[in-house]
Amino acid sequence: MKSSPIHIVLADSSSVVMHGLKALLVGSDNQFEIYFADSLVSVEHLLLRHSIDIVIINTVQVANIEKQFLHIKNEYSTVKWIALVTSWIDDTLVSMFDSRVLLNDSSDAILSVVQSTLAEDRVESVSSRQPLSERELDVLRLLVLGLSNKEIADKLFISTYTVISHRKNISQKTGIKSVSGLTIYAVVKGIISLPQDVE
Amino acid sequence: MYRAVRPDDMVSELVIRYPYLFLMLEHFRINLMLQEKTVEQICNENDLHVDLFLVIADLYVESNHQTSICYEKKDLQQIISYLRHCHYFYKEEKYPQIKAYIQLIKKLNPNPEIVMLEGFFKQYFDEVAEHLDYENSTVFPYITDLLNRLDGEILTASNIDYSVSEYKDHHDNIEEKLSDLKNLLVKFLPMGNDQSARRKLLFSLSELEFDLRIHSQIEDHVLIPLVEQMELKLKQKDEE
Repeated sequence: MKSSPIHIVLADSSSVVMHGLKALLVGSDNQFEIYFADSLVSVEHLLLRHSIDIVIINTVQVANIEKQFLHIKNEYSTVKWIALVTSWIDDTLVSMFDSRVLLNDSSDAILSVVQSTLAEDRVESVSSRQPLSERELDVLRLLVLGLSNKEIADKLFISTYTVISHRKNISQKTGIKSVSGLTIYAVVKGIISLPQDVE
Repeated sequence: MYRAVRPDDMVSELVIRYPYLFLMLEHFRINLMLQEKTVEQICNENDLHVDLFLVIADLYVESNHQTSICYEKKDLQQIISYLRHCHYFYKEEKYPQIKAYIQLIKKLNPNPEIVMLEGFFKQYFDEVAEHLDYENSTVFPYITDLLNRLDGEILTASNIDYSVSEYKDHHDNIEEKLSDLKNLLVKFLPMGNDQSARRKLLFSLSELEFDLRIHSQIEDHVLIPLVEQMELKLKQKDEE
């Protein structure tokens, strides 16, 4: 169980459903911070403002705006999405989610879906604590020299796409996104020696 | 409808509960002799739309509430004045403070990495200053012009081809490097005799980060949609 609260958004047009889900979650062993939303747009607002772990959203809120949904899902890739199925719905829509619960599922069933979705989440956060791989170190060394993605790709005989993916992992593992920040990181870690121009 | 902050709440009590609201009041240039006045009273005294106050206060107290309000022309001027004060606060107060802490850390812990950190911050501050100056000198005057144009006043010729979509493009994410700075400070930079200076820097950075986040939320979710609405209105007016 996580020690910090799990931030979870409940999105449905029915406040009875949202309050019911909230009561169910609050009564469990995990500590939750619950947010309500009445549409995909308001979910997006919450994602922007808070560090959300899970969104439970009625599939009705996503139907016909799947493209927009996938876009948001890509943008907030660490968030887990659980479909709340309240009516008959196309399977392809449900398959876009990480998991699903049905309106008439038992409390235990719903909680176990939430918990197993969280468990997947934990595996990922551990992997982000792993040290940089050899390849990531290669990319980092060239990156802090000021090379572009394309130049790094050419030097290492990999595709630009792969370089971008390595860079994403480097930022995820270190928490540092900017090249100048990564330069300091690389010096501190002894990955590169101190640039000459620093007094 | 549930709200974290309500019109009949006493502002002084809100500030005690959520100290960051003090900063919001400053940004609105509200006199800080709050006494026992309510939100509504304070707003009336300062000619401020109560709904606008509530929307922004909600951001500060991190309530989950989402509202859409009907904005008036006066609101837009208030928002710009608010954002201008934010800029002033960052440039004249926050950044000098952060700079001073970094220098203190450098003095206590003279490490080459700390010197690099100083350079990192200097570069970052230059970027931010450029962004703030751009908003002050281009975006805000453009919006004021737009308001005048909607009122039927003549627009100064120089700004005609501008559109807020350009502003969107220009709107860099200045929070990213701030987060880098925090990560370097807490996770990686060698610790010397600078622990308390480092804590002060960290707190100061977090305070800045908090206010900057609200600042960009206001720009992205209030200011830009509002200006886009105005641009559309004006276009329709021109076509008539």
